[in-house]
Amino acid sequence: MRHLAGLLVLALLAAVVAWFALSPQLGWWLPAPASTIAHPIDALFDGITVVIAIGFALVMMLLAWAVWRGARVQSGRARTSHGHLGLELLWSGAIGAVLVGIAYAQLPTWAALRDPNAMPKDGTTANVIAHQWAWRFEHPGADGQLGTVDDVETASELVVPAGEPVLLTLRSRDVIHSFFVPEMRIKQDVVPGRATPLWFTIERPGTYEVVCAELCGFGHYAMAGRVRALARPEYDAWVAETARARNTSGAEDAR
Amino acid sequence: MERDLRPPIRTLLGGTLLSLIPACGFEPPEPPRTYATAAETRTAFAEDPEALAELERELLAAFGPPAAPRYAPLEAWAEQDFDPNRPDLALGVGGSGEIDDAERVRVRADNRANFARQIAALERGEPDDVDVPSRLPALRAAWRTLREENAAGRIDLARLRARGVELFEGWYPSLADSSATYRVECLHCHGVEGGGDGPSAQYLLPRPRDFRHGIFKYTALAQPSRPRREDLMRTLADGLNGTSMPSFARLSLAERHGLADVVRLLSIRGEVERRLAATFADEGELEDSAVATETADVFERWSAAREKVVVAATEAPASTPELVALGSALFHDATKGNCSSCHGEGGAGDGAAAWKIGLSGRKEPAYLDAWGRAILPRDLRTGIYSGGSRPIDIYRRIWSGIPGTPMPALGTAKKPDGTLAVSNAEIWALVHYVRSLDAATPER
Repeated sequence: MRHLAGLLVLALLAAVVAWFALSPQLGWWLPAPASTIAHPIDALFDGITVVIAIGFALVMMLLAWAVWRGARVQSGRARTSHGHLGLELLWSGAIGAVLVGIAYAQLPTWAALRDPNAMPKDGTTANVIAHQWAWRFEHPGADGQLGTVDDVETASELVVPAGEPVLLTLRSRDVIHSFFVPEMRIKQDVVPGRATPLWFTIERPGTYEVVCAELCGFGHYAMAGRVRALARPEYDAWVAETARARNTSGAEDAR
Repeated sequence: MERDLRPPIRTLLGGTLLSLIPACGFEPPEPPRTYATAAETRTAFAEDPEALAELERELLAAFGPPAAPRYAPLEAWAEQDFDPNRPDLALGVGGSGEIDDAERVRVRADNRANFARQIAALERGEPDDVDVPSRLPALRAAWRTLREENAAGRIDLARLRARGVELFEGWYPSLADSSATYRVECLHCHGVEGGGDGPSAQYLLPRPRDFRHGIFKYTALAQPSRPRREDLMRTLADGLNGTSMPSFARLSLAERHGLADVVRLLSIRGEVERRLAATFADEGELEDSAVATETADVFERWSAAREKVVVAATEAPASTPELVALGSALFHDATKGNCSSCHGEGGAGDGAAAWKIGLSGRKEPAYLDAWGRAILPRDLRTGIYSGGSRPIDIYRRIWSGIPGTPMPALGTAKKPDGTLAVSNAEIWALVHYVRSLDAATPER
């Protein structure tokens, strides 16, 4: 009967591993990746999950073995020991090696996403302004330059070309917000007083949800927006249309 | 001396746990049963509580309670077959006629996207798979009725399918539905009656709009005017940059139209109440038909807004250094734009006219807005334009001023000889000068 406890630990292990193994098929996983950087990030995520799963399985099996064996030994006291240089070196070294391995493996992805020297130099630019509680976006307009009079401002919707690098500058007007696009695997805090660069390349046209991932006040839940990625011709048409709308005399408002 | 700390700790823990018991029993508050009258109204009727009760009864009869707001139909509407209580998105059917055909197509497309799951289930021929979100009780009830008709054999599956698709695609919230949305999304700032006095209002600067004056700052219209539906819809979609009014683009288009309906109803209700309070304060009594007369008059102003759109004589010219220089000259010229008197030499909102020395000897804002609060001119260097950043938006701010504030309408300002003080081209020059103040500011 006491051996059941050991079996229970193993059953728990089997259940957790099965749960994780089945999750992607059941749709309990990350949304389909939409940006180029999402693929290496997903590969890292999967790799780290496997490493953790192996560690988890080893620990659980050790625990099951201990419970099982403890149930068999009917008499005597448990033996305790303290200080075993060989063992300590072994597990410190093994865990250290795994962590260094993970750190090394993620370096190129980190550099591609964050290193100012590795970021794409050319691309469509846009400003992201976070404030309580909305996202506002400034697009460069027809001249492709930000900070000029033909900039196009939108609330809640960022329009960018798909298949090309997009270079964002994130600013906050009040508190810390976080620009999170789950499908692009991009999450960047927006800190007041700082201009934070961020880039991505969206692989295919579509609409991707933006949420605020930093609790920023009572309207935090409402800080939703979207990134609309258009194929180049449609994007050019959108720029032309906004340029025309900017030059308007307002006549279309009077029907 | 050491004290035994266990008894006080036990008491504290026990007390905390006990105090949780009543807290668990509280129900969420019900929606308010009536719209309350404003404090000013109660002051005006202070000496005649019976007349106040009578007015409250009449307003309730005319506009309904928050759970079921509506317009009491006016005689004139019956003649024109117009009823703002009966919005209808069915194509080819008139409905209240307030949403034009192009917008109707957009709303239907938006509904189609939002109810994609339900419509797909219907088109597969599986009405069992149609689930209506519980936050849309009226739509739920309508769908249930259709199902029952189908179950009773009055309509066949094909008919159920067609009418079901039309139900979802042509969905438009009733005033009661939208009032519920208003209570969730808007009430905590704008208040139950739209008085700009919700629980959160006191923490906001600028304060939320008080709809009861009928004054809306950012519209495309010559003033004075009530806003058009399009003006309210734009504010709902884009928010007001630089204020706490966020974008409600996350709501569906139909829901936003519904909120615009509620804002209009609250504004008309509030303005009628304010007018009646003013009349009563002057004359000490109200005529029997006063509510209907005032409602018709205020509603007429809302309908007339359509005719007041400000259209520039020319399209926005491209920005050139000469145009910006001309704009700068006009901005600083006291006989032309005279903008610098309030907005300051550099556009920082620090002009002398906007300030006064108060009784305390300190510098204070010189002006109050229509809602009785101190108001300061915009710092134009921030690039934050509440009414929109397109050149035509800034043109309209300059041309028609900002209602409820000291910002004057330059487009209709006359020189002493009766001619216009500034021309269309000069307003465009001002627009480009104002925009250049933002562009010249490298980092903000």
